[in-house]
Amino acid sequence: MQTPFTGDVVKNAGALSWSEVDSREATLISRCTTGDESACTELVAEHQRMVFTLALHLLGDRDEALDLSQEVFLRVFRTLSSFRGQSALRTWIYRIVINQARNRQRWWRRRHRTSQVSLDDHLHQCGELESTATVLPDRALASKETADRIWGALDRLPFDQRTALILREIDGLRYEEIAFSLGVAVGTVKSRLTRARQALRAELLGLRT
Amino acid sequence: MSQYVGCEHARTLLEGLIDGELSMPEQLAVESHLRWCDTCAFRVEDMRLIGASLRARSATQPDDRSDAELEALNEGLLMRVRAERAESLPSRLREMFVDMRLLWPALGATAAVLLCVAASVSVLHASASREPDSLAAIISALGSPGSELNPLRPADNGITIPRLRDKEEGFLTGGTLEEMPAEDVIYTIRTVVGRDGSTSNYEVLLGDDPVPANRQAAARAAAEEVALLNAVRKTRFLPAKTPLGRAVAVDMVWVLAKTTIVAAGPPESLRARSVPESRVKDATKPALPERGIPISGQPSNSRRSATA
Repeated sequence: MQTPFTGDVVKNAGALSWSEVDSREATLISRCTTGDESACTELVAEHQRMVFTLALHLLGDRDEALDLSQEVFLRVFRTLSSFRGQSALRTWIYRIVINQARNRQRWWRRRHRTSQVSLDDHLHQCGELESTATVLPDRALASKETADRIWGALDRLPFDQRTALILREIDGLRYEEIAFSLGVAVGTVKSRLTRARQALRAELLGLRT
Repeated sequence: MSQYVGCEHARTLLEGLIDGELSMPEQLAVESHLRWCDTCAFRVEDMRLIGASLRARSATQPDDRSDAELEALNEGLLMRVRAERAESLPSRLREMFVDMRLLWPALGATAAVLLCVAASVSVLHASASREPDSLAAIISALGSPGSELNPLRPADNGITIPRLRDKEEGFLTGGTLEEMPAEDVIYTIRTVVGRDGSTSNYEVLLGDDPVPANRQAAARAAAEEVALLNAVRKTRFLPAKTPLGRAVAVDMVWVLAKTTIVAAGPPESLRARSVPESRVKDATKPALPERGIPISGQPSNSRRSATA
């Protein structure tokens, strides 16, 4: 299931134009930069779920994800004046989320934090986030055991591969958008996706044998 | 009719097919390939299953707890944004100018601080400049032989001796020395001749005059010495040069001597010789003065002075 996307093509970061941002979004941004609180509230309300979800997928911890979401929006408001419409606002915010999450992971690694809760464990503890009433077709396709194994394997992937796969499969970003969000070339995105899928497929094959 | 693709090529396109990133011809070609290649078809199926598993377990549908947490996040965020804006520099500047009574003391304090900084910088600058007799200056002078601070001594090292410029030749001889009333004078002067030919650090090492008996004579001797040193100061030399032709400063001792030679009269043999009458007339004419600088009050053919 792919989420709707406002911009079709992501330009180079150096290109300065507002062509990727629709007029409503441009107005919202300009109101935010002038300090309009209602515009800030609107921007947060529009993107907070997306930011929280991605942070939760990347970090695997609800509290950390909430904290990261707040940091992300503070950073957004601090640097919004430098946003030049080189991508859709959503993609630009994705980039901030990923950078912040990567920094946090590095910090964890430096502190030898080993007790971080994986998303898999978290889902075991907190239960399913979806209500049973809204059963998606995907759920019918993937059995619970398969999904558990896949998510376990996803947790063990390197941060960059995991991020690329999450952005592609869950957030439905195109290769160019993923490349912009990760700050890498499209070819790098393809290779990371390939490696990540190979690792998950190996897990899947192991499950069948 | 779609283009044929082999397994090897098809595998590179499978992910593009799943992600919807292929062009229409490529998509048709890969789909055509999948109709007969079970291996690639299974591969595609696996990748689709992976995507489906990820999406099925993703937290895209947060529960009520998440909604409440996000609401709290929104409020906390706005409070932090407000606080940041309140503490931002423009806000604080605006606050500073609300009460104008504080402006003038603030400006005065700023000016005082700037003044102190300027004074400190000037003191630092003054203390940083090197004194000529400091160790650093001595080391610097030793490191540059041939400079005015470390002049060389012309000896057997091939350095030429400074010579007076042609136009300077008569300056001392025809001026200062000749104006001295004493008939024989010798001065020994130490001086440094710089790379530009100018003199510096000059001093009279030895004067020929005896110690004057009275105060008047001592004053005259001192005045003569000052006049001589003034003349030395204005003198310009052709600078000393190394064998490589580089001008260097040298330390030299300069002996200035004024000698007066007085002829006692014609020799006896010349006196006895008879003079032809025809030349007697010529002899009565006054003799032309010799070339040279006349000495006041003395006939030029009877006295000569020279400097060395």
